[in-house]
Amino acid sequence: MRILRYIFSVTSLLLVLPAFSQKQGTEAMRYGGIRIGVDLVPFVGYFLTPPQKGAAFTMDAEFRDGWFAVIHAGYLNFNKEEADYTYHNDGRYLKFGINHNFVPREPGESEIIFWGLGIATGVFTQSADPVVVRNGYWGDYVTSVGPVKMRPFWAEMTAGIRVEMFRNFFMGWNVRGRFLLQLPNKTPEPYIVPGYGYAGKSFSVGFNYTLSFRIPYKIKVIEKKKKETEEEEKK
Amino acid sequence: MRADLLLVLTVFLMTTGCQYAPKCLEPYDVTLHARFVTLAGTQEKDTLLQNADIYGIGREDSLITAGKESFSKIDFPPDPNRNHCSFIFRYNGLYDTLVFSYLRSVRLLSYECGYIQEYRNLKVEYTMHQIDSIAVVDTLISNKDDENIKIYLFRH
Repeated sequence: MRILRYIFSVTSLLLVLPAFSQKQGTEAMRYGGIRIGVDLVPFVGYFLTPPQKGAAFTMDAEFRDGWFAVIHAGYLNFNKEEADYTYHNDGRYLKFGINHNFVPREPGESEIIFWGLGIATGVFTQSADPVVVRNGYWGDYVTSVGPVKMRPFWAEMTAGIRVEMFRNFFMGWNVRGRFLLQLPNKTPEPYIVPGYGYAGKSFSVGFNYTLSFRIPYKIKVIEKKKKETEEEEKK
Repeated sequence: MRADLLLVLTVFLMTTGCQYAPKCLEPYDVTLHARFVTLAGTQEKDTLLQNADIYGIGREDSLITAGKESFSKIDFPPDPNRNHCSFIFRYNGLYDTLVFSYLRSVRLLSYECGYIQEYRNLKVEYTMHQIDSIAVVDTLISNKDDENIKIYLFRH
């Protein structure tokens, strides 16, 4: 219980600190709003061997100064052609997380350098068709395996940057460390898990390069109250 | 600041993406491992066969013993297309028929090696001209070297 109370206290402190630091800035406005983006890394997959056809989209919003709620969604269609089999994997994934900007920003500045935590899941179907069983004596046997449907879970740690190149238009990258929490014990073991990467290891590293656009529906006014108070004092 | 960040990004991209493709190091062939033995009293002895021929029924043109003048062990290739296969065993001018029946299942060896077909619940039927009896040691025919059957021959 004491540990839980400690964790709760630290978490509360982390949530309160940004609000506190907000009061220390000068008067300025910072645009808020939902940022919608596309991850360019999956498109690189089209040029890989074997090709990985996919796309990923990201959406985040600053719900508190320096704290961002993030949703990342994507799909992957992967085919691996070998001499004796062709492997197919088709799936979608969804990630939820929170990113935190850990460097001080000037008022009005939207660039962030962040770390984040998240949880992810997906659903994918894998199969192998055709599968050729070589037999030099009786003759080859052609068959297929699957399809098998699986739902994995994994956790993610991330760190990266977002830079506002033009007003409301952002570019950025982030590195992801992914920890596989659960993969259904079905055979065959998947070659790849969409959104996670190669399934042979319980840890994988990924990379996102994001172009995003912020819909600036919300405008935050920082320290307006403080200035108003000062003006009242002068009067 | 923006230029610095993009420089960091470029360097990062240049240093990632190296991968290598591991090769298949596991045995790929799946055969039924058989050993010929005779009983000397209660002791069994490996029997070296000379001028013996074995071929599959339907594959009379292809001996699985081709190139072997003598042998005490032989690997029978199971038919991956059917749940059974038959072989003719000719020795000392006598012919025996062996019929292997099994259940087939495809298993992924690894993505580097590909798939193999395994054979479970191995059962053997046979004629008894030269063959005294057959003991099934392991009912799973896989890519391992484990012995599957012992073929006991009559003593002459």
